[in-house]
Amino acid sequence: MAENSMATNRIGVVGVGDGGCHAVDSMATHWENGPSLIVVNTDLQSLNATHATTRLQIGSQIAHNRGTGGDTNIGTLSAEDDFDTLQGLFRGMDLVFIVVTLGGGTGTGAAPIVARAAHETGAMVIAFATLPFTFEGERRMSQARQGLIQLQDQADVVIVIPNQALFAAAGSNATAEEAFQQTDYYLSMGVFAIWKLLTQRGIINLDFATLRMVARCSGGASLFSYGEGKGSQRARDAVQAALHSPLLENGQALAESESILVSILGGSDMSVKEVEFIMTAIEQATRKNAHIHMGTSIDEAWNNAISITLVASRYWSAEDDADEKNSLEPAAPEDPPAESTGKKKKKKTEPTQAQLILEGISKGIFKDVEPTILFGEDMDVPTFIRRRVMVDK
Amino acid sequence: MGLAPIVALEIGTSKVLALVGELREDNHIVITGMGEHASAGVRKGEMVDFENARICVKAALGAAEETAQVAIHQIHLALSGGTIETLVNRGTVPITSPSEGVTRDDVEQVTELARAVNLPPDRQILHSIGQIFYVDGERVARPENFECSTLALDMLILHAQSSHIRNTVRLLRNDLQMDVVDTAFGGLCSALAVLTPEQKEGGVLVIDLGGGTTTYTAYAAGTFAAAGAYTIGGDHVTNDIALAFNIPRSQADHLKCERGSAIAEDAGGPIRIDLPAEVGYPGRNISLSGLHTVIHLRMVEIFQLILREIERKGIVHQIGAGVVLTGGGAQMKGLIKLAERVFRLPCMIGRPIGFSGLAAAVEKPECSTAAGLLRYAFKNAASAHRGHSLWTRFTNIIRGR
Repeated sequence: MAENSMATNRIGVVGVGDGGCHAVDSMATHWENGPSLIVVNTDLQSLNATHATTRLQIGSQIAHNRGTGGDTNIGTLSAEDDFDTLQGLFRGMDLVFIVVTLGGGTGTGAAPIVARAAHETGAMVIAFATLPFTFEGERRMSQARQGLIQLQDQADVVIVIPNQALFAAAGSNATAEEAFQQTDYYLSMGVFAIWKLLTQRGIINLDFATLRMVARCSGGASLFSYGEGKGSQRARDAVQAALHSPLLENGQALAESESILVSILGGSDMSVKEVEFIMTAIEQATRKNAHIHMGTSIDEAWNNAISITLVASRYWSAEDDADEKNSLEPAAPEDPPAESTGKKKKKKTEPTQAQLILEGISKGIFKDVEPTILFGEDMDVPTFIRRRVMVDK
Repeated sequence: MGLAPIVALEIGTSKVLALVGELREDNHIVITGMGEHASAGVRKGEMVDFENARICVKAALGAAEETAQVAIHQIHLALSGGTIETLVNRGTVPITSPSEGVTRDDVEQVTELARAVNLPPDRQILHSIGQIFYVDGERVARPENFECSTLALDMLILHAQSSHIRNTVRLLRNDLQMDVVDTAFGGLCSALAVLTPEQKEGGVLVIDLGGGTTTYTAYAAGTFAAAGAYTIGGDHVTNDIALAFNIPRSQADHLKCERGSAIAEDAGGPIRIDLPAEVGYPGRNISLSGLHTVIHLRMVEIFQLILREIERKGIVHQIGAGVVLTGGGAQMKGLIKLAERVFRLPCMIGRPIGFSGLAAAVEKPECSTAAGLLRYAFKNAASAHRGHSLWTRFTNIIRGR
């Protein structure tokens, strides 16, 4: 198999949930001859509004075509209900990008299942996941963190984009609309950069095998940054923007990263000297002995301009195996937004909280007998209440 | 064959069922008596109100006596409470004279050893089931005459909370003057009733959906491989419906049986069901798809619990013959389709096989446990009658031969 000359149809980009669909939709309107674009959602209306090539509605029975109302359990159940169909979509693909904005019901709940479906068909799975803006509320943030942990279990690489960091950089005058638009742009550029690397020859190639190795050896959530420049100073502008991106904690995260994937995209006028300049700047910003993998690609649309995409991971283990990777994950200190360091470890206790809230509310005939507690859930409380499913009355 | 009729009693959460059976040729069992009574005083498979439970058991046994024209003094008891758990214990013995091969004595010795487990004081062994022998580490089904230096046996131990068993036995003995000959795990009985040897050989998962408990029993390569019970059952479905639509339990139960489905039907549009007024509840109408959603979510959850368990035990890939659903809950519409979706295996409803007699009892999934208990009891009795060793008896019985 000639891995670096993959046909486009063996790479898929799938947007999950409202945010993911939106981002993939904006890719659909901008790219020609791109990878196959798939959108997966519970909300029929939002699906129909997209331009993606494939649309899949999940959980029509549980969510009644209307979305999840922010409940991740419905998202998860919906994806599990349509697991076979999901697998059918991914059959024959070598690489699947999952684009999801974590925090909502469908994206957060379904993305891990979608990742599993893709993984089980043999595809490598790279997930781009955004964390919510602070103004979206604490509930969405904690939900997003739970989803992130689950996504990490299923995907080969999870690239995290903390939206709030973007917002902060955009300045206080930015509107919410602009903030979301910028998120979409970053998501699509991230996917675009890696897709370009794999499908188009540049001065230096980065092939599928390298990407797979990076995915295997780096553990936990990866960070991502992006920079672009135009005109005579394009190389300098692009590398400065990428290195000092708020997404990398203004460069701090890069200095601590063990593994960095660099993708440089430019027009046919991009010179070797420019590439060298960029790589020198990146090497100076990273620690010694960091594993740096780079590739360039050429696109005529980028004449007179250069864009740089960095994917940085804090872990690298050459003799890695699945168990080791898992054991590293809980310790991953990837928490760019300030308020949340302790949250990730709460995965196990979450059902208990739900149980406390519900206790005494709705146990009906079982309120006087010994409760059936399994995996921290009180099974006597109706499933639809525990899953917070809105039932047609 | 000269074996006396045997009485099987199942004190379930929704019903008490007593069956009287007689053994005929080819291990065929004729059901000559049956007594059934709606259950009271039982929740989640355990008695909570002894007086009410006593009345129900007495009524069911009385009806069985009447139909069978026998006086009942001895019964076999099926236990389905959620306190049942399993563990696998390995016993190993050295073979003293390897050149002679493994003798029957060696087999009995290793069986004894594998059976000896230390359980907490409130647990007692219900069944110990030989799974597979190892002669010098090699898996064999029958070790006799193998030349080897060590013999090992994996024993699957089913144990239950002793107080649960003792309470039930005491009620039967003291209050009803019934002698409890033997007790057996309800899930195992159901499997004995509904499975063919081919299914056991191919690997099969039997799920018995009762009113208060759901039990599962798995066979892999002809051997009993795993079992378990959850105190979640049809009562939970009824309770969910009652709470979802704020209707009385009786109405919820009726809705579940008459209009329920584990998968939302494609009705092509919203359908509403009219409910008559009852004391304290105004008449109203509810959404059919809402009803199905409530049931769907609960049943998916139960199936996923079992799936997770057999995945954890590593036997999910050995289940080639699929999933068999039995018990009263198995008759829920759409359940087969749902089970196929969750387990990704062929699924079917299991009814007692190899029984005849009272039409009301044979071929009904809700009678699987009691019917299976009859088979279990007859195999035990037949072996004892023929003077088989304990070892042969348990291999034959438990392996379902």
